[in-house]
Amino acid sequence: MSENLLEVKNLHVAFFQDGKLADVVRDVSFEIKPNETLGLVGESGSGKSVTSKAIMRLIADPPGKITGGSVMMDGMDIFALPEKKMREIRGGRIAMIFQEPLTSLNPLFTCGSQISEAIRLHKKCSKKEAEEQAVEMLRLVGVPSPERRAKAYPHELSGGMRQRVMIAMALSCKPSLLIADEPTTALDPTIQAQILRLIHDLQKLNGMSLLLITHDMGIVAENCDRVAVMYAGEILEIADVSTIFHSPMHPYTKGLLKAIPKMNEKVERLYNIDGMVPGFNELPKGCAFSSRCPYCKDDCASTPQRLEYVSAGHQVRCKYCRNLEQEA
Amino acid sequence: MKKKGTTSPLARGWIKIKKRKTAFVSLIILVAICLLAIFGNALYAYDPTQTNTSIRLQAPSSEHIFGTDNLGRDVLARVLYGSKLSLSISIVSVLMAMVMGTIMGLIAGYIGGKVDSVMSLIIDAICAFPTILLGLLLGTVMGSGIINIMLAIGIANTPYFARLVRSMAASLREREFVESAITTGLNHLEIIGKYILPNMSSVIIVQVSLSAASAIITESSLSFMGVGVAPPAASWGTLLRDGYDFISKAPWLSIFPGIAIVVTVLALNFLGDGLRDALDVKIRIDG
Repeated sequence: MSENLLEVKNLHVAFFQDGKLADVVRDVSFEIKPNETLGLVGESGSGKSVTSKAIMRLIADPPGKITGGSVMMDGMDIFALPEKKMREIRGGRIAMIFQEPLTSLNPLFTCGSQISEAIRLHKKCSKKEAEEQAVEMLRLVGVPSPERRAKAYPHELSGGMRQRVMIAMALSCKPSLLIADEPTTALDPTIQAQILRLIHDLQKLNGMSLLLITHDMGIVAENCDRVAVMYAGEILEIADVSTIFHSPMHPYTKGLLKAIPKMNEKVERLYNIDGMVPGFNELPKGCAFSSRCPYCKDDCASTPQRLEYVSAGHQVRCKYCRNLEQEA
Repeated sequence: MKKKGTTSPLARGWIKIKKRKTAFVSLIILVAICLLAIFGNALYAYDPTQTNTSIRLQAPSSEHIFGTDNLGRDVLARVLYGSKLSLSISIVSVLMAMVMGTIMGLIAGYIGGKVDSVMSLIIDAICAFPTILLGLLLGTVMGSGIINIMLAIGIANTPYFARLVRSMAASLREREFVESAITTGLNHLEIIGKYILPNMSSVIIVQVSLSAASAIITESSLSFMGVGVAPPAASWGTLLRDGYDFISKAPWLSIFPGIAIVVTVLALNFLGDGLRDALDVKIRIDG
């Protein structure tokens, strides 16, 4: 067990909505090994970001509340740590980058000063050393003429540059886990590829694990070792990346993969999964996907499903998943 | 820190202010008024307290540019003398309001929840009193006096700062850069000091200049009604009050302090508007 860097176990997060608690993340468990990349995929509102914020203990309470489960980082129980210790972990052991590079930097300070501030927070060094390291980090993330860029204000840089600055800031203290919450959603595709390449290279260089949150299956295929598919606050399937793409078991994963447009096929209409993600206050008692599942059985909506192993390293939250092939 | 090509937000604001004629002229006028208030009496030949009954109520002339009052004192010297008190009361009371209001607003906006509800209630309660009435009340209870009038105006202006800061803090708290600052491990005080306060400074600056204008009016009104600055000390308001008795015989007694008030208040308001245009743009999200 100790080989895991991060262990999330039975995590439950709820938010107050109209005076009631709505479970936004339910029974989420996964683990990340050193140097591994775990992709967390799911549509908007499936609880991906909430899960990642819970790991950093960033859920605002109220309106949110972590109602159960545990997160172990390096054998430390994140939820039990005092706030002071937690601040050392944030930025020091776990760093995070967000999907909005345009607004994630303080507009009033130069990029260099923001990076060196992050460095000085976790390392004992002089202001000057921190500033030099900040320039070094900017060079590392591929910012051209880093000395000049370090003195620039965020509004003077493009979106891709700002995301590089964010990455420089996140990696400046050599965290062992980087959480990237849709790091490239706001960027155009060519920059997207560059940024992902960069994260990948730096991950190898620093020996760091990555939790990559995205809704883009293409990004998952290219960047992840293992994948967790989330839907309506639950993990429906976890497996290594080739299993997910070549022999998915859960109907939802199958639907997701079918929805990817293929270059070599001409279709009239792109495939989509019928229906909408149910709201968190109207979830069925049983399988959350039952209302949209083409294989839905009579008891699916009423009996809760458990995440079960179908083979080594492959867990699926659907008790009928083995029989789907014959039916189809 | 500054280099060619990169400009800090404040430097950008300064460039914009210089481009706005009314605001820039207002700024120059205000600087001139402040300099006159500080050095005017020392440079001017007449003593503001020197009475001379042989030259009572003289109309403006080359000898006494603003004329003389009922005790033969030079009105220009009196106006210069009054500006010291009027301006310092305005500045001190607004700074007081700024500090108190910012603290209240930060507590309410940054913490939120029940704290916010209670704070907002207090702020609204203070706001419900008209400034003059609050000033009258505090002036009567605590007695007239310069410190008391500063306190009264300061308290009356506090809720305007508190409301502004509260709403800014509440919205800044949700901004991505604050969240990403938390993920780098900063504590709340550092977040407030480096991320929340600096990003609302422009709004506070604008409010300071607008509040300073209203503070001058409030002080004048209170002094005019006799609960403000008491003789022998004099502010523009007390000068107005003194001249009121002779308004038909010697209008210059009231006119010149009145003009001083109007010019200062107008300049402060124009400067405030100009600053709002130059600085109070929403925090720049993109270049």
